[in-house]
Amino acid sequence: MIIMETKTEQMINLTIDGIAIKVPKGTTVYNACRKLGIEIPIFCYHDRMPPFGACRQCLVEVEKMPKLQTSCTLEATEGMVVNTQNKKSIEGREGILELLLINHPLDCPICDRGGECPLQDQALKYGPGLSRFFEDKRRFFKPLPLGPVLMLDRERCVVCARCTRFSDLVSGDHALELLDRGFKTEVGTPDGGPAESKFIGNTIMICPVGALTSRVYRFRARPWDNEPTESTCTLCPVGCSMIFDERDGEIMRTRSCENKSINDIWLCDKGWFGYEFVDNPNRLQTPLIRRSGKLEPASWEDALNLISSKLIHAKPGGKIGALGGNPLTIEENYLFQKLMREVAGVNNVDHRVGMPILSIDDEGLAPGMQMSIGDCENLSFAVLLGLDLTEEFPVIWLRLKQAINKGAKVIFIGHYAPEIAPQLSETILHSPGSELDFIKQYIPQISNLKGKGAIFVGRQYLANKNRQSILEELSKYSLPLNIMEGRGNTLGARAAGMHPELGSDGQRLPHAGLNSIQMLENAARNGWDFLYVAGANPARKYPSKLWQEARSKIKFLIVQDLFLTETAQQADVVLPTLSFVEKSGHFLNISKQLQTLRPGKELPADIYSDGDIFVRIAKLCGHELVQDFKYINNPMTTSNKKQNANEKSQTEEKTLYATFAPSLFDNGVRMKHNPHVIKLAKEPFARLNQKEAQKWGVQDGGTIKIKSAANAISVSVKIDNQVADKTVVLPLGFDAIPVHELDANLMNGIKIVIER
Amino acid sequence: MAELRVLTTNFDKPGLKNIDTYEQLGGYKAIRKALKQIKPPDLIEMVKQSGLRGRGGAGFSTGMKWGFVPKDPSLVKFVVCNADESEPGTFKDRLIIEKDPHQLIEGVMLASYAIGAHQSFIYCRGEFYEGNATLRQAVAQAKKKGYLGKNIFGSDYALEIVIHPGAGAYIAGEETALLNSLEGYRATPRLKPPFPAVEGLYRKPTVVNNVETLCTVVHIVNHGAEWFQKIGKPKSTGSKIFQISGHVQKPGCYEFPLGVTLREVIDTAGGMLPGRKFKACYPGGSSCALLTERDLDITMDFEALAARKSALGTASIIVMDDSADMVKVAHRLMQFYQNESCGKCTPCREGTRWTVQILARIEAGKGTFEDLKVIEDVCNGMEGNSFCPLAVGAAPPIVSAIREFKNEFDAYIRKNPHPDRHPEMKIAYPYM
Repeated sequence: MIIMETKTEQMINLTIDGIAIKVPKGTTVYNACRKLGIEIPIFCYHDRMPPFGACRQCLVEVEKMPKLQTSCTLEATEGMVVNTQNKKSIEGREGILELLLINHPLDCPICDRGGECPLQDQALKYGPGLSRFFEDKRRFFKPLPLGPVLMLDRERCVVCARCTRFSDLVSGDHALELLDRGFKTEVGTPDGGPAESKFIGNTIMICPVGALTSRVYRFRARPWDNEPTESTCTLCPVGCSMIFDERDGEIMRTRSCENKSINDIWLCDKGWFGYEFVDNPNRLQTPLIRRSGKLEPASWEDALNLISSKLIHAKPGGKIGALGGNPLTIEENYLFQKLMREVAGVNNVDHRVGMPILSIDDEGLAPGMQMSIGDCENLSFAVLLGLDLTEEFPVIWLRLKQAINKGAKVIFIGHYAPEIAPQLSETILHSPGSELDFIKQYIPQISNLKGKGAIFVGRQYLANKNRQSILEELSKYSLPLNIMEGRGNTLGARAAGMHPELGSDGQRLPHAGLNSIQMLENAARNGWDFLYVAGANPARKYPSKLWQEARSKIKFLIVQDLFLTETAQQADVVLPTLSFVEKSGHFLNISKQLQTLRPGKELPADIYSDGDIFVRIAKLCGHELVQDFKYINNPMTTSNKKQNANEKSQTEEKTLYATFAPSLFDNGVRMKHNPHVIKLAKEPFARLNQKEAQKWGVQDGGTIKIKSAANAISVSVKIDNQVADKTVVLPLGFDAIPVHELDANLMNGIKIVIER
Repeated sequence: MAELRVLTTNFDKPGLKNIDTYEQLGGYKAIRKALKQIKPPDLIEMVKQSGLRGRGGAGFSTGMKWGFVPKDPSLVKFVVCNADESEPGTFKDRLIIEKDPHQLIEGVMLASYAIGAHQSFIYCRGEFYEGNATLRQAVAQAKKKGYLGKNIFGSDYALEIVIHPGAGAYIAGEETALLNSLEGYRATPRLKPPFPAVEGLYRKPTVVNNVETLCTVVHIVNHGAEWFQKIGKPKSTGSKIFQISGHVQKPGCYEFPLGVTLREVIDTAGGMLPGRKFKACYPGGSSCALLTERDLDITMDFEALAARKSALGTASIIVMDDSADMVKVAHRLMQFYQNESCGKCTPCREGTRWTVQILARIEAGKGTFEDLKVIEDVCNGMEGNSFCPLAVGAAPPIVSAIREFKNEFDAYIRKNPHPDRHPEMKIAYPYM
């Protein structure tokens, strides 16, 4: 007798193919069979979604039941006797496979799914072998693109409804729906346009046939030619586990890799399709040195010698600094700050380029979650405070959605409604500046709810001048407080000491260095000798006046990146480097889990990792840089300094306050070099509600001039009533809306005036 | 056996749509009586005692169905009247709705009172324009009189009824597909269990009953369970509206006690058309095995027809005389099921279309003898392995037609010069 893991749950005895088995109450016959190693073919059933029973493939015979039963929907009951291998059930399953194949085109030789296709495998193993179908097969115009990344071949579809149920139950965005009826049933989008989802790549993974394919991967490889490597996605702070598939030195595709505590089996579309930049021909191939005003290819030797000589030369004055680190591994960040601190002798290092900068004294709590991402599925209630979850931490939404499916109450409070608002229990909007009032009004009621709860604080509340008071207020409730802030490996960069006030042990330094804005201001004022930028693009993140003044007074600028960014174009030396797919190292994700990076492809010739470059520069300066970093999960740094909260509620009649909205698909350096994913970026708009639009005389679709204290920009406007009063939402990261011109620190709540 | 008009008694009375006329003729007596004298559990028991079986086709005991609903008064419950009458040959509910809408309203009220529902729905077939309008008017009249709303007839019972038009899918007559449609989703059947009595509309306990079933309850309350039990047969009690269509002289609705013979119904409908001979009939809508001349004396009740491996269904008799071509009948019926399949499960979605394709080929004189075996296999698969009753009902009319009239099918196949050779297999590619 085989006994499955016994807990206190009630156990059920049944017999399958003559073998007695005990399973917990509620187990389906299909899962009981699987525990016994009996394989039953399935199509519509997927273990992340409830049983559906549509494909009828998993038929088995159960004694005392006159008809064959679908094992995926049938709950095991006491004394049940199941036969899976007798003539009746085998014939039943063969009959279903014959039906599934009659309208299937059998074009396996040209189908992307061929070689990893459940229909192909199961037809081979369980199919009748011979078809009796002599009629016309169903035909469709093909292929049908459903947006920039998804392609549909309708005649291959077996209508298992996995993709449509995913859209309903897992992502909740209803991007795909079944259309028409009967044998004409097909998958499509509700409005006939492109599939509007941030998670559509997952439907390709769970499609049991080749109906849904990736436009990025289509016709590029057969699965058996691909060499898989398990690694980590570094494109957002969630740090999902993923698999790189390489063929002939190129990344063919990325796939999800099961990780219960982070991404389960899912990825967002940036993870599924955002890898094309890795093999983009525009990637930098050699170092570049500025000679007589022009950047010209140079040898590594020349470039590194030049850098080290400049560094040695600049050292005595201390007018030296380093920016960047978010796309680098934790080890590389460690070496970067060590290079500056040990070799150059300065604390002027900062990874927060284009992110709000607050000193340790003012930030209250450091970024990071106080719970595991996987635990989000078990919450009974949660509050999203100014957090646009799907835009910044997409996969965490999929985990939280599972909690909502189980009945969890999730409330959003913030400046504008996120796209997931229809899935939430309540959405409360308020203008920037009144955060504290709303916390005091709503959190006490919510925190009294039964069960496990959590607070998620996002950018609208964190990039805020009242941040410390907000976090102090929230700390009063004994709920996990998740500070959702970051871009790429920011947590890793901070932990490794790529911070002007913190060392690599996470402790405060006696003498703080300058932060990134201070560095540029100081350079503009006093003239600097040396600025090292690695994996950052300050030219597109700060007001051009500030950047240009600083740049003109910096004698030597080094930029280390994958592409010739706007900053690199102005550099004195440009160094090419490796992408996340080619690196070894570690990534610290938002829940402070250390994720491992492994090279997924052949390394490009004569390009080195950021870490190697730092070590070689140090060596040329006569210094041995040792990689001796060990990550210790330090408790959050909290300051005791009290902040005087600006609690005056803003009542001026005609004032607008800006709130800055990050987007998953923006015009970032890497995204711009993904030919498919860049098409997922939506046209950016400044958004305000009807009431404010009328007050300011603004037309939907019109162009307006937005003026801050520092500067003015022209933007197109969209009227959106899901925005709070007195608020204008400005998207971050788009070329068409250079919000960085408005304010160096991009703090929410800056005053805005509209000029027509 | 003579006609027995219970539900249809007043159908010829003028002005019956008006609530006052209905009341003058004894309407809203049953619900008044129930609210005053009968406690909900006793009402359920009364319906159980009467032996009433659902008139929508499946013939499940109505009292038992009501009994499955949890008794907890804090739970929200619903009654949904299935008025999505779309079985071929069935037209009794339409007659009731258009002639005597208040009888149905009263029936819904009784069922709602019995299970403790305060919100009920009548899901009416969308093509019944007049029916929908009539029902809306009837509900408005009842509301105006205070028969719907709060404190009905001076009791503390409250009820609202909503009329919802369907959007034209046969499958919406299946109770769980109806609930999906009512909630605004695609009309596709839901997985059972949980059954609607436990988790139905908006995941709340729900009773789904046919129009005729609910109307019959009115008369059971008025005359008592014993009276009802005495009509018809021991296990098929009461009277039933028989609908007869096809090659008879006076097609229409005729109410008889259950157990009347097929011959009596046909004779009441004026018999066959002059000079024609009875050939076959589908006794309970199209979703059952056909009966032939040998079966003319069969009693029309649940047991006798089940024993004959056919079904009483909705008691809708589609009569065919010797002018009917059974191959065309089978083809046309299968086309109906193909077009009405919701597409959710494989056997129904693929099987109905395949069968239509084969039948079309046979009809075109290109059939083979093996085709009949394939049809039988596919139909058996549909009957045994499909998700909901649609495909279960699609198989018998075709299989029985082939079994009873094989010579007609063979005759078509013999038009093919090579009836033993496989047709040429078609390749899907190159595609357009």
